[in-house]
Amino acid sequence: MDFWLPCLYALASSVGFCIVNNSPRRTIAPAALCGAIGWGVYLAFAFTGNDIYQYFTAAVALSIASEIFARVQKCPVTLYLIPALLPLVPGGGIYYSMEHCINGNTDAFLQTGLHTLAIAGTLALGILLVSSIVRLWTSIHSAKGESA
Amino acid sequence: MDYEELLNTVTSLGASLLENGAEIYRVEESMIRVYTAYGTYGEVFVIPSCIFSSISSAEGKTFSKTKRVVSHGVNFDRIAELNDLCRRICQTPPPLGEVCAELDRISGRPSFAFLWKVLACALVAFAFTLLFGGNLADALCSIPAAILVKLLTSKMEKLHTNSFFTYIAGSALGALIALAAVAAGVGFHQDKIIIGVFMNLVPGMAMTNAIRDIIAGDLVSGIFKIVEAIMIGVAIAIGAGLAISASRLIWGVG
Repeated sequence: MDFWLPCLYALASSVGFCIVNNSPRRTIAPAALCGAIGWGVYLAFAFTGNDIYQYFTAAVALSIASEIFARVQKCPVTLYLIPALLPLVPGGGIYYSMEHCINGNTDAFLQTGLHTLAIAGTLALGILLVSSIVRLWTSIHSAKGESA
Repeated sequence: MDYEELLNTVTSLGASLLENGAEIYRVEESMIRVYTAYGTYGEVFVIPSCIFSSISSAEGKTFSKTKRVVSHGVNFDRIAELNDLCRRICQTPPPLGEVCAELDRISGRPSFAFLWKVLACALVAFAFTLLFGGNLADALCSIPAAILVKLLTSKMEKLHTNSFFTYIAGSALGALIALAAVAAGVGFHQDKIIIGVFMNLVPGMAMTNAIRDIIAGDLVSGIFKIVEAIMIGVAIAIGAGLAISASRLIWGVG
């Protein structure tokens, strides 16, 4: 239950975010599934004991899932990527940094703030890696098609 | 070939893509592909608030157009439809009149009713409060908070308040409701409730699009959106910080 319930929450939140951003109805279910996959991978890599690593693998996994669904349904990949990434965005980090700041704990504020930025950077890196590889693959593929 | 009509149609296609939250490279690529499909060579430069576009006619005459884009709402349905339209145009270019009619049809497509969006915000807050370790009481407290925050922020957006202030006000209201709920003994963890409400405001969209723009080489737009993401993050922190400090000073809770 400790694994499946959070995935379910992530799924529900991605569905909510799809509706807020007015997704086409056919992309809501796959986008929500990508969100659940992201959180599932995040939890599955908890054994590493390093949450930066967890966020990275989660971002890579949900990007791959989003790219696949985008190819299958012929929709822009952001329709899946943005709702799926939402559960991983460090809202907690923003809150706790702010709390340390108003409590006057400068050390804790800097530590949490930098950690939040690191998480954001890691998520960016994960998406960047997958999208760049996909772009590379598509250009190799289309170059082959032209020469043939 | 009526070059002026082509220029106007393609620019308004690009503008609707940009208005509805597409990435910069998608707007540029779509516009250039459509120009190519109609047999002209087009130059397009897009930044998040403006489109510059020009084409040359077969006689060597140049037409150009600048389009200022203001709205930055997000509508995935329209992006998907416009993307589909571009794909169809590139396969067999229809007469420009038909493209205009399609653009009108897409901009008139129904979106989810406002009530659904408000309920979706409540669902997001509810799910996140549970996800971050709040109990059921906390999650239930986050529902009215998220609904009120959504009502406030959408009202402020309608009045064209700047987004920085909108996010500060939204996050302050959410934090105040969470503090009130905890002080009244209904909720237990103010941090979990506030984070749940926060997740409706966090800059996930700006962040993702910024990364995708940077990958595509649009550094100007990428920096624009990264700054936007950081500004939103700072704004929601300031809002909740203001609310918590004020309630500590005035009522001694928080």
